[in-house]
Order: sequence, then C-alpha cells, then structure tokens
Amino acid sequence: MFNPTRLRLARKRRGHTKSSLAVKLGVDLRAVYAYESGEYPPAEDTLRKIQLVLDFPEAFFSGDDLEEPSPDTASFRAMTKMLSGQRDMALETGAIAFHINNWLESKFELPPTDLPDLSNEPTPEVAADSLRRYWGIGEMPIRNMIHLLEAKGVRVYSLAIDAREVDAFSAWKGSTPFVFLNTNKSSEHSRYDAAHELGHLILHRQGSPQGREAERQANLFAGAFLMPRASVLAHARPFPTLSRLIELKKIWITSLAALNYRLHEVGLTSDWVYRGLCIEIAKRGYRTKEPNGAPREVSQALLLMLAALRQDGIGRHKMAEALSISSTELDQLLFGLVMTAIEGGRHKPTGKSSEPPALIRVK
Amino acid sequence: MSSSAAPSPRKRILTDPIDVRGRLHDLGLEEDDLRSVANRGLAARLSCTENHPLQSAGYYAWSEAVCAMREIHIPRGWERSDESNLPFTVNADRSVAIAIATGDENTGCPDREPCTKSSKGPKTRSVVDANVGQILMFPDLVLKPEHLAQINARMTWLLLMHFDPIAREVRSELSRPVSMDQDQRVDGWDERIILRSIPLDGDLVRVSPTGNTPPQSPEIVLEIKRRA
Repeated sequence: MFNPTRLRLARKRRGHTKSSLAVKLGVDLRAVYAYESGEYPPAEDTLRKIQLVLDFPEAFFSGDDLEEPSPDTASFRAMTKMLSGQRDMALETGAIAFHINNWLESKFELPPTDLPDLSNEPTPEVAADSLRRYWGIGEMPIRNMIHLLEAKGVRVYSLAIDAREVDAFSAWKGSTPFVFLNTNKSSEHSRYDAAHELGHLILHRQGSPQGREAERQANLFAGAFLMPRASVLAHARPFPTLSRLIELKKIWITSLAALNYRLHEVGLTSDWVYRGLCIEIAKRGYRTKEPNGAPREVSQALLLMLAALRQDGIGRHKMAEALSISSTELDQLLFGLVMTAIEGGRHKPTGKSSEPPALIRVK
Repeated sequence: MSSSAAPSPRKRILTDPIDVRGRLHDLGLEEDDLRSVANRGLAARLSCTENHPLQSAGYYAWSEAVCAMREIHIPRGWERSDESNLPFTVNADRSVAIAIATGDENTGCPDREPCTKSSKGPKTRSVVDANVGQILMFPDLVLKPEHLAQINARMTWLLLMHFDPIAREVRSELSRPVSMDQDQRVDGWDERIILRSIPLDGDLVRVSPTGNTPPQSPEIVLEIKRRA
C-alpha cells in the first residue's frame, strides 16, 4: 500500500522540491501533488523511478507514517541563515533517525533520560553550573561530550548534510531528547555543538524564547558548560599568547576561538587582549583549521548496539533492510558517530589528515 | 630619613603562606582578593597602547586597582573614603584603612626593602606618623584591628604593586608604612605581608599531561541491556 507521507518525507530528505522531483521523474508537477496528497498513487514504473531518484527501497514507500521533529520543537543553530530546503532536509533526517531509534529501542534498553528543566535559572551560565552540580561533574573538563549525553539518556545521531548552516540540531520526541551532530566538523567544533544543543534541551524545552535570543543563550551555555569559570580561572592567566592558548585549549578540548571568547567572558582578558587574539587567530587561518585538533568523539551507545546486533547475525545490510532504507542512509545517520572518518573525499574531517582513523567499523 | 625611625627589632616580614593567611585574616582580608586587585591593575596597565600618553599606564593601573579594592570589599562591609585626594578602603569599624601604591622593583622581595615609586603628599605623611604613634603606644603587640578600635584609632596599610617586565610577573605586598625619605616616598615598613606573585604569561606556567592539567570528568561506561 503506497503511503503518500513517506514520499513527501523522502523527497524533502533529498532536498527536492515538488517541481524538481517532477522534472527528475519526467512527470507533471500536478502528478507529484496527487501522489503526495493521496489522490492517486504513482504508476509502477514511476514508483521505480522514484526509488532510484530518491534512493529509498520500494518497501520504504509502503510503511506506516513516520513521526517527524516539528519545526517549532527543533532548535537549529543558524535558523536565520538557513534555507527552508536545508531545514527540511535536516528535519527529515531527524524523522529517519526517530525511525531507526524506535527499531533499536525495541531491541535494547537505553539509559533513561536525566535532563532537568533549567529554563528558570537566571542566566545560561548559572544553568550550566547547576547542571554540572546536578550531574556531579563539578569543575572537571568534559572528557567526552557524546558519551556524557548518551549516559544522560540523550539519543545522538549524525547529520551528514553538506551545509555550513546546519551544524547541529536538537528535538524532543515525547520525553526522549535527540541531538543531531554534523560530523563533518572538527572535533572541537562538534563538542561545542553538542554542548550548545544540550543548552537548548535544558533551557528551551518549553519552546520560548526563539530565534536569536535562544541561540545566544545556548552559546553562553555551551561556553560555560565546556569551560566552567572556576576551572578557567584556575588554569588560564590574564595575558596569554596565542601559543599559550593552543596549549590551554587541550584542557577543555575546545576551539581556540571559543577559548579566547571564554577567557574574555570570565574577565581574565581585557577587551584589548581579546581583540588582539581574535585577529591573530583569524590571520593564521585557525578559524577554519583548528591547530592540534583533538581526536573525534565516537558514540558509545551505537557501537554497543551494533556490536550486539552483529552477534545476532544482523549486520548493516540486514539492519537497513529491516528498516526499509538504503545502507547509505543508515551509514549517514550512524557511522559518522561510529567511525572517526566517513569515507569519501568530501567527508574527510577538517584539519586532521595525519590522524589515523579509528579502526572501529561494525559490519 | 625625615620621619621618626621605627624601632627596628619588631619589624615583621611574612612570606610563609600560613602566616600570610593568618595575618590577613586578623585584618579581615584574603590573599586571593588582594592578588586580584593587583591583577585588575595589571589588566588596566596592559590595555594601554602606544597611543596612550606615556604616564597613563601607571595611573590606569593604580586607579583600576583602587576601584577593584573597593568593589571586592564593599560587599563585605568595607567602605570607601577619600581623604585629601588619597583614596582609602576602610573596614566597618574604621580601624583598618588600605591605600594602593605602585612600588619599586624591591616590592614583593622579602630580603630587600621596597619604596613607593612616586612621592606622596601630606596625607600620606600623616597616616605614616599615626602608624608610628601606634607602635610607640603598643610596643610589644602585633597590632590587631580590635586594639585600634578600642582607642578609636586607625592603622593604615599600603598595597604595593610592582609590574616586572623582566621576571614577567606582578609582585605585591600589603605593608604598614612607618617612614618616608627626603623625596616624600614611603621607604620604611613595620610589617610586610608578601603576597604570591602573578605570572604574566604562559611561559611561566606550563600545561603538561602530568603537571598542571586538571583531571577530566570520569570515563563513562554505558550499560545497554537487551530486551527480552
């Protein structure tokens, strides 16, 4: 039985508009409207074309309705700069992640959610502090952001979308929080994104505020959560040189730019010192290419589940089949978080070509 | 020396962290607070560029340190008091007053006697004289605020700061002045509390995997159970 909502989902996932899909299929725009509204299903040969063009197997188009993150509950990093097509691609990636997650949770029991609602804390910095205390990590630098999120019941999936504007996003599915990370970024950038999304989850669960103000708060939260004030004051000194910053950032595993900002924010560096370092960081190209990059963080939950499935004889192909999606689709949502590098030229993580990829691949 | 010389046998120089903490505690102060005062002064000094007038670095440092001294201590019951153009920070029962001054290169060095960098005015002269009077009055006591509160008197301390570009550090001390030289610089101290210096840049503080790096949050081992 053809399910029109699945066609709409698959189309948006691939970044197609109705008319661009109609052109690809060689049908009238009117026909695509009809398929998606359920007026009539596509003919058999058109359906085969659809499978090819959108890279989804036949079975995908006859499944039940899939739950999608709704635009008003999902938090995007750069909503203002984002095109609606990019937003849809991200949201539908989320829908497929929900689908995969449902399947995994039918087989495994994942850690329960332990995220307090801190939307009433006076500032994002206070919220970051409270959360650290609540989780009992005090002032310690975070060893691994993904593991921490997973341990607190957040489901983490990778977002293999080639768009600068989509860094990451987060959403609630009922009472389960999800974070999607763009795994094409440097490890430091990704950790910051993860902390930023954590900020949205604990500060903006009720939805407000929106837009710029919410982004500003999530950024303040991320800086304070990754680099707690007392820890920064204990290790940084007021007049750092750039080479000193490169040393220091190893403590909190953060980007140079974020550390420089934070030193200024906690009052260690003057406006003048801060601006000077900003200029130096930009001049050396460290904004786009992080010096001394840290190794990429890898999901622990997905690794454990994939390993257990493999013991049961369920590899990546069988899993994709069970989910009625292509193996490539599965790879994009999982393997960015399971391997340190996604294969294929354009997905190489930035700046760390010398770093050997971790040899974790679950087949 | 133009001022009455302080009786030298009772001079105290405190460097041991426990002695320093204890004596500052007598006065209602904390070492780290005083160091952050010096630090704020330093930050102000270093925000001066070539475009600033040459004299401004020292003035900015002093002025910002005075402000920091007050901002940190007013919430704890201290008050500001401007007397004849000399800014003090004074404790609640008005038995302790602190002024800020830039010191020479001997500042913060226990084996050398520091002196203020610039000449001081008649107000400084009068507080130095008052300090000397108190020593003559209580020759055998380590003066505490309560002694002075009893006789309605006030002891004055100088927070001396010195910015040392060669050693790349800021040294500071809280010292009780008892004499001035012919140029009206403060050059003699009955008691000196030497504070830990503040390094200027990372070259003095190394982060190494074994040394200064703080421990990271614990390694997480997830538990994921199969459903029956």
